[in-house]
Amino acid sequence: MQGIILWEVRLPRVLLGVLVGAALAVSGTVMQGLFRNPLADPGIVGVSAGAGLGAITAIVLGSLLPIALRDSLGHFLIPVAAFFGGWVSVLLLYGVATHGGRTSVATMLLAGIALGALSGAVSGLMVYAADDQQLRDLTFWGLGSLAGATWAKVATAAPILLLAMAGAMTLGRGLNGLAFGEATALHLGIPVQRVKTLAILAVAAATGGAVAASGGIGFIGIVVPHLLRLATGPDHGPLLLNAALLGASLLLGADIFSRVIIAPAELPIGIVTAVLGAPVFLWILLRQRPMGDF
Amino acid sequence: MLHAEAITLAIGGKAILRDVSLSARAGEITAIVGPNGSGKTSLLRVLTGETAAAGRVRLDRLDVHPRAATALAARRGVLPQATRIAFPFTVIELVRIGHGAGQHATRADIPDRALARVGLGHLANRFYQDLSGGEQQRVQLARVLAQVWEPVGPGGANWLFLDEPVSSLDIGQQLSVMRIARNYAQAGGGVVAVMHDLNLTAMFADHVVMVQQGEIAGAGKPHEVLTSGRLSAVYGCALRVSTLPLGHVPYLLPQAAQEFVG
Repeated sequence: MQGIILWEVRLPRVLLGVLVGAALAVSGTVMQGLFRNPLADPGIVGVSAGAGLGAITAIVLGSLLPIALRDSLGHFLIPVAAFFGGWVSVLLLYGVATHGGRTSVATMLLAGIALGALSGAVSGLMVYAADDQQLRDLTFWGLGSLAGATWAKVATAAPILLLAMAGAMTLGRGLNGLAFGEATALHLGIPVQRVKTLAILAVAAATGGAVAASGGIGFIGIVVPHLLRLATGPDHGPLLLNAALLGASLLLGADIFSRVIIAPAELPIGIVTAVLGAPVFLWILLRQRPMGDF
Repeated sequence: MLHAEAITLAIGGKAILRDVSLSARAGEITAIVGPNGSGKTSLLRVLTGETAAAGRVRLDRLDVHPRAATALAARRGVLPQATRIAFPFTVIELVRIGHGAGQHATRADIPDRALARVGLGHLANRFYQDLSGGEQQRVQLARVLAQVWEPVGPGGANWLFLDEPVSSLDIGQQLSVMRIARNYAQAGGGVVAVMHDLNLTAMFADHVVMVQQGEIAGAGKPHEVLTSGRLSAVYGCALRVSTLPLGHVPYLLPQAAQEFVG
């Protein structure tokens, strides 16, 4: 009995937590490097909401897809849809907030709010269209939880998340260069366009994969890079690798906390990460104001 | 040798550069001068491959173009007018990023030496954001120097492209930065600088290219280009150039301009 609990319940949950935590932290790090701003977090600027919309659309309208396509995607339908939702969101956000290689922080945050609200509204419409079984699946996204972890879910999420993180790990030098602005990055010999494209794809895949596996777990992507920059500096080489490790540890810790604090009931993990993360976000905002782009 | 041929650039339907051709030789400081809005900085952006334009730019055998970024980074460093950095990098971390982009990335002593050369070795561990404008400009120069540390590399002369390198410096620092540029050129490297100060240009440049409304208004040695007649026409005000008793170094006093008008 204990063996079964350990093997069928605990272990997949731990693995999913490690993968999702690492992916969220890495996508936050890449996103902040891409937008040259420590406030750019997929959860805050609407990318998670976009990925969530993709996932919800796949659950509700997936049955309308041609059977051949549905069969070939199988379990991957929802994460792939989440990836597309996240991808479109990052592309839109980058297009709106960045002109001539400079990012306006105010525009980025405002556009992110609009994007998040729009994705939320369309997701709401989807909920109306959903039937009872689909509603049960959907409720899960609102909460953000690792509770539904199964081996099947780990197997679905792992390839996408690992691929996204592997891609992100090659971006260290490119993101360091982008911190100087696109022109100087180019003068430093960085293939700017390729770095941007890869960064956007990595963020979309990491966020999409994480959202599809565990719903919207916020603030890991902003807390982890911030703490690491304080500890080891802003060099993206070590930052990306350390973010994966600390993100995994942090989410695992938050999951254990949410499981035991009101046992036998469970606190949604999103509440734990928000309590940790929201103050950090406000603190960065306060510190940034004197030198921001506003 | 840097060769630009028939550069034409329009941004948003407005002609910025019209049929500009120029050459700059390694071993010399080439200064690009001209009034505000004449297209100096746009010209430098085309020469560094930051902006694609009609015409052709070649650095020795390399085609200068945004797509050639990696090959160009080994041969030339570019100092922009002002650089904002997104994250709290320390001064030495920032210089190391420039160093890592160049061809001497394995020589670990270069970043410290580059900082020492601009006189800021003592600020190595400070945050870039905490420095004054003038110090930031010199740190960026150290970053560029670290990228192309040797004036002559295996592929030939290396180059510095400087956009108003002394714009936020006091006069002592202006002279020391211009001396760094001159030493680089005398050691065989190429230097192309957009200059605002005509007196510093006259003192340090070997070759002067004057730009007016996107066209070349004159090119040659300082005393050939910086003449009363040409300056008055290009800058739209009566200016009188004098010459120091020794040599050919022209100089310009704003007071003399008023006298001339009055």
